Amino acid sequence: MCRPIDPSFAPEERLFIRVSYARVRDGHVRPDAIRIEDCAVSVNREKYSDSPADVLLAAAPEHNGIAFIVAGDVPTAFRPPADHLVSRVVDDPICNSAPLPDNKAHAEIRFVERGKPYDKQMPLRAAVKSRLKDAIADRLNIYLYPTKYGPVNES
Amino acid sequence: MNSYLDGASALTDVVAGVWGYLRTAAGEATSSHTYLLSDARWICATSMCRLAPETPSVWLRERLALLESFRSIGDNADGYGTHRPNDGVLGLAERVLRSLEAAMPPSRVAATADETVLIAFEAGERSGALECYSADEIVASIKLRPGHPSTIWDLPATPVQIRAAAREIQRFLSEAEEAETGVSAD
Repeated sequence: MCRPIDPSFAPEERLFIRVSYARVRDGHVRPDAIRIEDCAVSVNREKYSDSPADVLLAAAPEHNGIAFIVAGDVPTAFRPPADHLVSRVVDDPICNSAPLPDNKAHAEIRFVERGKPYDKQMPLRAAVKSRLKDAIADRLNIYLYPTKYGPVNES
Repeated sequence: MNSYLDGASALTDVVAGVWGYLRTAAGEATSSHTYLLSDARWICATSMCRLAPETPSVWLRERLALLESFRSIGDNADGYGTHRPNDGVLGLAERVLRSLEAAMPPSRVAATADETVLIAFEAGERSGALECYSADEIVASIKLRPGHPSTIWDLPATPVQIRAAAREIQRFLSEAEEAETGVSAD
């Protein structure tokens, strides 16, 4: 553990993700920029970042933009078909967890069945995942606009 | 040709098309109907039937090539551990693209951070999408504008249902065009 767990998130604390040029449209982050793995979205806490750019990785040069959601704006409830879920922001610093790179700013937006503990194995239907990604993307703001890097791999 | 003719709807179209052609040949067609047989790739073109091309349209060829290129996406290209869409997802995305009518080219085809393939249609602020999650899971959605919750529904992975959803999305998008221009997209 590189630092103690800090469960407190000020409502205005920014939570950063990196995004690529193709996943931003007219100043808005597209839902396809959101990755849900183990019923959670990885973010970097502003509180434990030296700079918002800490979220950028040399190994991911195409993903050179930064978007953020403020902690107080993370949706706590969802429309159908995800209305059985709630979300919460959980501190989750990563240290000495090779092959994962250390990331003391790491936290997660976790999706949990209402009234139950977090279960990263909980199956999520495709339509539920679409609803979650849509809800998160709608609350993201651009901090640093991504630029084209090499060929954009889409039409 | 068979790959384009899956589903009862398509078969009905072909029957109607052949019937239309025979009527034309017999001199019964009205002037409002045009039946083309000059190109062997096309069975007919009438208000009664849809085109059934044997070779893909330009946009389809381009999108299929793009889809193929997704196979070369490296693991963890975004640093979040994302893999390329798996073969089942790519296979379904190909079926979705081939199910779309020639006049329904998607605005965008993308491999997503969630390892799905998104086939998107956009007009102004409005958008719609068919997102392929696995070999048989499609989610359709329409969105009025960023910040407005999408309408989302599960879509059976059949050509008839895919075409119907694509038409629904096109209708939704054309409403935006009509509102902006005052002119019907039809």
